[in-house]
Amino acid sequence: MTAPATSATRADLWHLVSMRSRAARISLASLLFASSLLCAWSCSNGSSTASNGGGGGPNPPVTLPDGGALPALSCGDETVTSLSGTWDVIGTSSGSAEQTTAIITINDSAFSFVVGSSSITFTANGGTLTLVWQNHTQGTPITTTHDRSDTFSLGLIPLPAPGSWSFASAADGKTCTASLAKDAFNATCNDVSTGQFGGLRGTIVAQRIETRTSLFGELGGVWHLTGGGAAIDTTISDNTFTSVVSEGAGHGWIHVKLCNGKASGVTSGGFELSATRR
Amino acid sequence: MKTAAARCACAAVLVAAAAIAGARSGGAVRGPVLIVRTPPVGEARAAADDDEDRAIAIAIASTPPAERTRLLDAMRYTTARLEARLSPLGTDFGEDGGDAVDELRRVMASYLPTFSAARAFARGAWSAPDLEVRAAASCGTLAAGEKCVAMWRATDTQATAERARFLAWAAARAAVADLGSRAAAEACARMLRERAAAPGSPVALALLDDDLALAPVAEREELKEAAQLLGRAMLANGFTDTQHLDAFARAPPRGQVAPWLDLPRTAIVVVPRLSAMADPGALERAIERAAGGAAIRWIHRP
Repeated sequence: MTAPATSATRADLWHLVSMRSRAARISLASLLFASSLLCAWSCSNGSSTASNGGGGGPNPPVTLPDGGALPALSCGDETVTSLSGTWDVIGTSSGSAEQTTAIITINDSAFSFVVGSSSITFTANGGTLTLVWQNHTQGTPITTTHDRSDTFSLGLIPLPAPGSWSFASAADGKTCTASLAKDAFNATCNDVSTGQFGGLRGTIVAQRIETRTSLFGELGGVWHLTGGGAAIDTTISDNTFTSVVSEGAGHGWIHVKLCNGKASGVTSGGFELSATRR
Repeated sequence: MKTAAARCACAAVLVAAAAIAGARSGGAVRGPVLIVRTPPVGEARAAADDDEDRAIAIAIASTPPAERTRLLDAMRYTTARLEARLSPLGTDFGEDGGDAVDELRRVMASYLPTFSAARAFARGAWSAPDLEVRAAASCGTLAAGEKCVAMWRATDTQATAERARFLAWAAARAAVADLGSRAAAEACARMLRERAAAPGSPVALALLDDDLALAPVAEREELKEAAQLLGRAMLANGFTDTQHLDAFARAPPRGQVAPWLDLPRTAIVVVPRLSAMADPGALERAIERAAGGAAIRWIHRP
């Protein structure tokens, strides 16, 4: 029996969303795009009880490719009015007895995601955007631009994320571009890899193929993401987020529910997460 | 007069000394407790094989016999398939069901919440980028920079204490229930274990005092042998173990899990799944159902 790989430990939080290693690239895109829980590259004020995106009536449950149902998730009070604050996140781990922890801070002008000694920190000060990627040895500033010509509601996510983004690291020449429109998302990177937070090489494309009511405004619905020879269907519905690998990379899923100051998640691989706001 | 004044001053000194000593040892915080400190990044103690062995031991103890047999079957079946691939005359007749190791991972996935909770519970120490927490029976003498907070009686809602309890979820969010008799405790544990593997169950572990004392478990030897054979077959086929099967393959550990917890013979400790700890009511209801009408005295209500 071989010893557990330490690299698995470092990648544990990522494994929570990647489901299958071959689907890692596209899952990163899914996370970045759907970032309903974690992400707030925020410049606007914001917490609201936003909803919408879909027609009337309750949203149908997500059905797995094999016809099975997702397990019920319960995280208490489901009346969610804000995402802002500092969140402690715990994820279970297969590669170590040590559970994985992260700290996510979101407010109307900043976003940071800290795992171990690595972090991504974004701040918006007026029209000046600052993004820094920090690993255990050094910080790398990333030049960031945002064209905010396209605007629509993202509900509880307090950020003007719609529009076109560009990211460039002067240190190593790595670049990414991304754009989020009402029914479409795409991202292209030239072999960007961050270790703790995954990576992306090439292009992923997402199309909203169905709308659903959601706490996340126009993100609500079913998004079909393709790239890297795999496909994922991501459903953002009410206060839940579900991604299911649909093609090319085996089968797997992640299911997350957001409650008032808490969140819970499970994956097909048996990994689990819990988050609480301080 | 002088004597009375002297007595008074002496008493004041004693009271002050006691107050200082109390602050140093955690004051009136009753056990079990969490010792909290803010360490520099990377200072936290790394997990050891002992931690993993104890975790797997209590996970197996909390797995019903039918599930232990299923686990054993899965290991043996995977080994047979992997060995068949090594032989020029062998054929992997299970190939239609997918890759052998992938199939094993699918089987193991249903046990992973239990294994994960067992790891977190058995370890008794947890860390975040800016916080380190360990469980203890009482505050004892605190080192510089340490703080003692109640594990369960959450009268202090100070942010650091709340964070510590969240980080130490497997201990701090566990329910401890006294069922009044050993038979009732065993029956309740059995019922909870049967239901733990079901999707959506809030229960990860249901443990009795014998389990914490790492008492021998049926099928343990068979699981050890099956894991050793599987490990060799995986290695020969170029696979790396990501399921911590190596802990199954080692000899059962000795000692005591959760020494900070003095569990009566008539009580059970129930650890929630990580994904269920945000809804403690679900865990409480599961225990009440499993108690089947037996009176419950909550030592710690989740």
